[in-house]
Amino acid sequence: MGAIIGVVVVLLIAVVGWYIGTYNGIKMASLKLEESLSGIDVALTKRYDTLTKMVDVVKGYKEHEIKLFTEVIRLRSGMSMEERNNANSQMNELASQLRVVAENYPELRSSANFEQLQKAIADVEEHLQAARRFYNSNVTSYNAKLMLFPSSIVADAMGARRAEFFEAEEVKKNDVKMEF
Amino acid sequence: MRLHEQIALLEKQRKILFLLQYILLPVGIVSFMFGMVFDHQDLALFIVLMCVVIAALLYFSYHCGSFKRNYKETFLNDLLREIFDDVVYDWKDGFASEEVEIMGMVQRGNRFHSEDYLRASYNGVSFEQADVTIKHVTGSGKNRHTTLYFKGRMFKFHTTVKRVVDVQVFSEGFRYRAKPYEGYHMRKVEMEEMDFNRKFDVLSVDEMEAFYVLTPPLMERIKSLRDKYGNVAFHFKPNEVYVAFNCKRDAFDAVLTEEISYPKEKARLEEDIRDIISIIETIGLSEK
Repeated sequence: MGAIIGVVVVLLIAVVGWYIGTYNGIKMASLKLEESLSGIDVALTKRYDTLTKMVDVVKGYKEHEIKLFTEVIRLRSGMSMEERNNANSQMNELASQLRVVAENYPELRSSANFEQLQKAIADVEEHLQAARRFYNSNVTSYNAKLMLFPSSIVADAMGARRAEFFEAEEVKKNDVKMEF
Repeated sequence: MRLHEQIALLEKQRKILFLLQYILLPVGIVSFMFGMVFDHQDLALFIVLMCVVIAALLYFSYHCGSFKRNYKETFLNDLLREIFDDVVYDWKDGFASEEVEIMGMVQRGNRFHSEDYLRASYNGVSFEQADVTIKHVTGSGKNRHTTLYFKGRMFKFHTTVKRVVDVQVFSEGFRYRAKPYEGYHMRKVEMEEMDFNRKFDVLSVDEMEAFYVLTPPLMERIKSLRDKYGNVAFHFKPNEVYVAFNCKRDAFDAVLTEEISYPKEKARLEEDIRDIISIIETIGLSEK
């Protein structure tokens, strides 16, 4: 009888230990996810700021159309992933509009200020892509913890929900090479 | 001296070195060892053998230096100047052990040798390279144990790309890695590509920075360099990139077992030079 109680106690300790370990693992993955999400927010904000500066430089060429785009883009704290994706898509539109304007006005293209901003936007885009890859990589490992057995049991008990990917894959193809 | 005369002289020197290295020296050393073990009484023979070995060693080292100098003067100097700009080359010199330590890729060891120092630039990218051998010797006499930490080529590329923090990439089989600089808390970074994670260890103090430096095309290029050279290590630092790869043969050196011929030597040296260009182009140093 004593031996059976001993085995039960050992098993119980093992189960509790595993539960705590898995719980902490999911929490850690969640924290890492939040940290990497802030990287995306920083990159999106930087991108918005740089595009706004470009709009200021472009003023006087196609002011009305460009202004419409900037008014549509809204960045705020605590955005959902869908809102982030939308904001990013709108910024893509704005970037391509700026590209069209620059193609039509060689004097704008050759201005030192605009050239500097072009470099800045390329750098910001690279940072955004890095943030996206880092975040999506963390989403993959976080979601795996939530879906794979037996850690899924703990995740269900915690009420953890699957994280969404930041879908900006297509953006890179259209956007990073802003060759004016 | 004309080219064919220089090649004839080199071939003569090569034959002498081949004879010394592969026949006379081993025979002398074996005889000397047998003399030590079995024939203590015959002191005269023992001394003669010892003198033969020492003379052979001195003769070998003299001819070796002369052969290397002639070989590089004949084939290499012009070739380097043809391909690179601002060439500074010294076959006897190499990186200082302190420089290699700063590169932070291989453990220091206690035996260091470096030669074939080259400083030049290609497509606007200035670089330095040298052959490096690092060993760690412990014990003495019969308990002497030598561990080869690294034998291969090391490169230092100067770039204009500003990086905020260090990112290191080691292929899985790259042993005897340098410990991180004091105060640096390098963490292992898992990239999004499983195959890359299996083949390489990525270390950085900032995971995001590793994703910024290692773009998907660069990861593919690093994999192709690993496929070509075996074990490779990269250290991306602000304005500098260090690269190391294992190599059994020293760069820019002749092969003693093969007859000297102009087309063959030129092709071999061009291959060694192509390695440098390949790294510059592969990791996109000249693109930015």
